[in-house]
Amino acid sequence: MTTRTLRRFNTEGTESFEQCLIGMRAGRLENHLPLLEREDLTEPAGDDCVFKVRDFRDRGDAAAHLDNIVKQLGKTDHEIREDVGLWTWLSAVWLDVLYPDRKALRTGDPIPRLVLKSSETMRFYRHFLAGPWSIYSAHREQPHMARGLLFTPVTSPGEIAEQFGANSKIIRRKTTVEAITKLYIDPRTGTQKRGAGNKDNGGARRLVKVLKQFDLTYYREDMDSDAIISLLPDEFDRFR
Amino acid sequence: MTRLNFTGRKKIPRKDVRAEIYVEDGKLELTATLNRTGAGGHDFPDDAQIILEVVDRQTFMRFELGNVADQVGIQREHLFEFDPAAAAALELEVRVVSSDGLVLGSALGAKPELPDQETRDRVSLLPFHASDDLGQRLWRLDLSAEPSVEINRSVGDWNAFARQEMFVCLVYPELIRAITQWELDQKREPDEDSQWTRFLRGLGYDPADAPDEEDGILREEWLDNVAGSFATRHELLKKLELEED
Repeated sequence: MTTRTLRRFNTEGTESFEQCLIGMRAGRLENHLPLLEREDLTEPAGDDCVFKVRDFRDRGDAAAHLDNIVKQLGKTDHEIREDVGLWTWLSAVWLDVLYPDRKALRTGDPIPRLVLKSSETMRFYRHFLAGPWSIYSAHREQPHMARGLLFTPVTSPGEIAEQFGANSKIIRRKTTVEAITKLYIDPRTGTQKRGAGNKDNGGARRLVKVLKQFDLTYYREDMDSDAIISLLPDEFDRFR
Repeated sequence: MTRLNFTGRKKIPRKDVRAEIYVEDGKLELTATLNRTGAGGHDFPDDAQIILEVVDRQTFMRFELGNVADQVGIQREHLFEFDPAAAAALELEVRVVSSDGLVLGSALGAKPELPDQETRDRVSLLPFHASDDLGQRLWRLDLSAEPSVEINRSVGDWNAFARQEMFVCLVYPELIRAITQWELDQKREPDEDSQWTRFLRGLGYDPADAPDEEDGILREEWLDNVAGSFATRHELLKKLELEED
């Protein structure tokens, strides 16, 4: 476990890190660590905000740890979410934890998972670190209620997190997120129920559509999670 | 998909949402009410609650404006979740909700107004943001949502850069022209209010009067005239000459 002082990438820093990742994907021997402290590529993000780099149990653990780091900056959640150089720098710091085997970078497209750009803040949820933090920050008072969106490994968010993460109007509502957790997480194991990640038959993708339809009729903010679950059609019975 | 429920909810025109943003000591404050809620207006029941949400993507704040019979609104409530740079991007969602949680009416996507010129100068109709991914480009107009301008963070003090007279004189007329084209592309309803519609009317060019798309040359001329009117209104040539002196 190492200790670092919080910084953010500037434009060149972000580009350098992205090029480094592209090189790693191509199988070249690249070292991103020197980028992290270079004065021409980074700048301090705060006044000596010190933090530890450690492994994460899951997205929830990562989000809580990252929240402790970024709250040292004394900024609003909104400002922190927009700080794309900060999030890209943090993923560079954690790269060895997220991708201990560089060959894994060749699977899928790791760039949006590690590099956040200002024109892509709508895709914030895809970033391995900014995504879970964003959900956690909206449910900071009762993070266990958001377990349904944070229980997976950082590098495998899963269908539930992907589906709901893309819908900011859904994940900002506390009781709705609690309903997702109650519906799809087995309280005995803390992991998802069988079939929760399905595209249909009461799976996460269907729930997104149904909740959007509910919004035309019900004001969910004032409903508790059980009331939301009770409104769901029969296809969700197997998860109730 | 089968409709799950239907309550006969009403679409409330955005213009019925009266909301003003203030900037005080670097903080955003909001004053808001919903007009025409009772008899003679939308005729909502007296006990229905009026709820306002201030939203910018995932960040939101909720305020209760009271019920229809006794609306209190909010006066200069501190929007502590948002920083002043976000002011122009904020959207308001107002819902009138029955006692059993049904949405009786809603106005979504309303924009708060900026109450005076001094504030308007500080909280622009056209927000500027620093960007890390413009490469060698200095700026870019983003029309993927409400118009905003990205400035390459590498220029240094990007905020000061965007306020330079040279930048204003050279770039702004083209920004206005492109945004006007964008505003026309929105194909707004005649009674639909938008900040850019109001802005263009202020210049003497109501989007409702713009030539149709089929009249390509006339439409291009109309857009040129809007940009020219903006330049004239702000005496951009004179500004540039003064800066050179």
